Amino acid sequence: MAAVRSCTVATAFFLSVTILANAADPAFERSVDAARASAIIPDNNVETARSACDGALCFARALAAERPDLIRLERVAHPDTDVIRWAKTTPSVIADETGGASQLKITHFGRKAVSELSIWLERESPASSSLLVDLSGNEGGDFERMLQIAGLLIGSRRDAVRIDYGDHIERRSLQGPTPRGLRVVAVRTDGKTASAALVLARLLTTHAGAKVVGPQPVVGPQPVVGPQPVAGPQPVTGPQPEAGPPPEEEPVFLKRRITIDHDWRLILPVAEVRVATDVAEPLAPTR
Amino acid sequence: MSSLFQRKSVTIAAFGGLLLGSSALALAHDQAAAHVHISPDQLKSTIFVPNRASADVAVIDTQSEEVIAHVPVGSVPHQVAISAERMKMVTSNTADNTVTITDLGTLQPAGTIELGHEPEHMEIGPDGDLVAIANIGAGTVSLVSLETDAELARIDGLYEPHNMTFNRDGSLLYVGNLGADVVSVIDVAKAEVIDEIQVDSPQAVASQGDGDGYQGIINVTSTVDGRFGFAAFGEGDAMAVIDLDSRETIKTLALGDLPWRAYSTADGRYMITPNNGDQTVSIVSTESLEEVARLPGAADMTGVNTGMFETTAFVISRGDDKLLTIDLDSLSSAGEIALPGTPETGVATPDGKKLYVALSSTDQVAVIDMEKRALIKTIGDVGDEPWGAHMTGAMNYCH
Repeated sequence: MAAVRSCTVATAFFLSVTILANAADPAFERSVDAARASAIIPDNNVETARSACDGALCFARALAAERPDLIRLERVAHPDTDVIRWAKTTPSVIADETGGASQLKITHFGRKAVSELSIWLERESPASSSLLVDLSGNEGGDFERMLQIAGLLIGSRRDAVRIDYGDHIERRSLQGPTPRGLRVVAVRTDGKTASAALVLARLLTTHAGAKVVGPQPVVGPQPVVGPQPVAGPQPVTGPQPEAGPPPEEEPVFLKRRITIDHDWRLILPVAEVRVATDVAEPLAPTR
Repeated sequence: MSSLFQRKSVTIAAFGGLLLGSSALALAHDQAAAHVHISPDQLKSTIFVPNRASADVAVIDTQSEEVIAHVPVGSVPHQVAISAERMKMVTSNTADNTVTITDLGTLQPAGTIELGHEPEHMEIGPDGDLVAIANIGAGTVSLVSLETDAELARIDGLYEPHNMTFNRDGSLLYVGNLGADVVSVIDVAKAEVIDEIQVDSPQAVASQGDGDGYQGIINVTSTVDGRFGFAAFGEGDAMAVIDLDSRETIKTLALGDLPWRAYSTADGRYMITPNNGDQTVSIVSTESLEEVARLPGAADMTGVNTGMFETTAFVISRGDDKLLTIDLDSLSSAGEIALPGTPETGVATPDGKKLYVALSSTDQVAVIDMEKRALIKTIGDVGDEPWGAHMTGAMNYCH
């Protein structure tokens, strides 16, 4: 610890001095690598931004300016001192059953989403054969978890999703038991349904034959709080508000979350996700 | 003045000159820690408990199992770090952006140092003189000398820095970044970040929102011999094994969902990691570097302590107000111990016989007999919202 002793001797000179650790700036290099791996930004533009910037934040801002519709630079909301600093495990799946029909609201793809859905499916009565999956307000999230949920609702499907990284395409299959006497007849979306939730909606329409319905109708000044009954194969009988963005049209991207510095994160698309409509070959059931 | 100190004042005023004997003396010491002296020998049997709401540190004598003093510190103390070499205690006052340095011999303040935003976690270097303090709100790490009680350097370039670990000779400091998937490496002599070690592959999401929040890396847990560090990455459900001398990643292990951090057994055989997402506990052999068991856990696990010749592990469940016990010989669940309040973190005595756990909701410290695997006592009037328990010579940690 001789070096530390030297520091001690030099205390008077170091006091109140902030030493910036920017010698190598690994965050900068990490951002450059990620940008190069992205299929969204041309290499020339990455190099231009790199040469014009001497720091990660400048580079991240330049990238965000390239495609403001796809690339986000987010400021981190640091927790305060009264918060235990661990991620939360809030419920994701809310089930309602009325009149022999079932409605499943998947608010997000939280950490317990798969186990919550598995438990519900295990306990579900065979009488509830028609299921509406409500994805309104679901802004997406963990992509792998979404695929697991899709597998549970649809069953196994080979190459159901294609992930286009620009230089190669990755095919992903759904894995899950064949649903027992339960069929997804409708999927509800709204203007907030996005990203992984949109992919799930597309999977349900493509591989389970579900119909897309809009958000719950509003009666007077108060929204309808109760669940929407679903009966038979035609779940929507009355006029329905317009659904959110048609799940077949809006592109969905896999994104990487890159730590730029203590206060900023760059959300950078790295691949486009497409639901394969031409291949709907069932895999052998997993059980 | 906190309600605790008000109660003590009333007690002392009521009995006036009748204060006789050791218990009365303890009350007087309680008032402001005056006249309490701790010798280096006594330090080995003393536990320190920071109380977040009453802004003090309770000093507990494990011989009598009583609170013998309350040491006033700053606002919202999060952790204490004890240097037996310097006979000093450092307390991070998260809400004040300061640390308080206390002379352990007299329990009197030796100084207050202003640091960055939200100093929380601390680690003392192998020489007992240098303290690293992570200012989590500022994204900086401060190096403080206990020889001069002064800040030597403040290092930028961290991402919500959490717990830290020195390598064997103290030349490198490994910082767990709660806000990132990398471990930062600080060259202590240069006082700068010289490397970032990626844990697992970068995360990919398809989301417009924030989801359930982000949990990066909160600690690099050193093996007992100081050779390897185990860094759990919450979002990646993975843990990297890092050579702490060469900074190379030796292996990356898949764990359960949302691993918190690794805790080493005192004999160095295992790393025990609670997975708070799927409520399981992973046990990794430090010899084979394989996960050798995954056992049922509980809600919001905040710590693991081991004892009784390393035959038993106690997993603290803050969410369920209990301890889970694990038999380390058979690597199987061995039962539960219900607690009367919300457990935060704990410390096992170096002889492995007793475990002291701070109970924040009841202002107590629970005493666990590690051989009987049973709660044998609660120590009351510890302070308002006790947040942890720390002791020299023990395996200390913080959440």
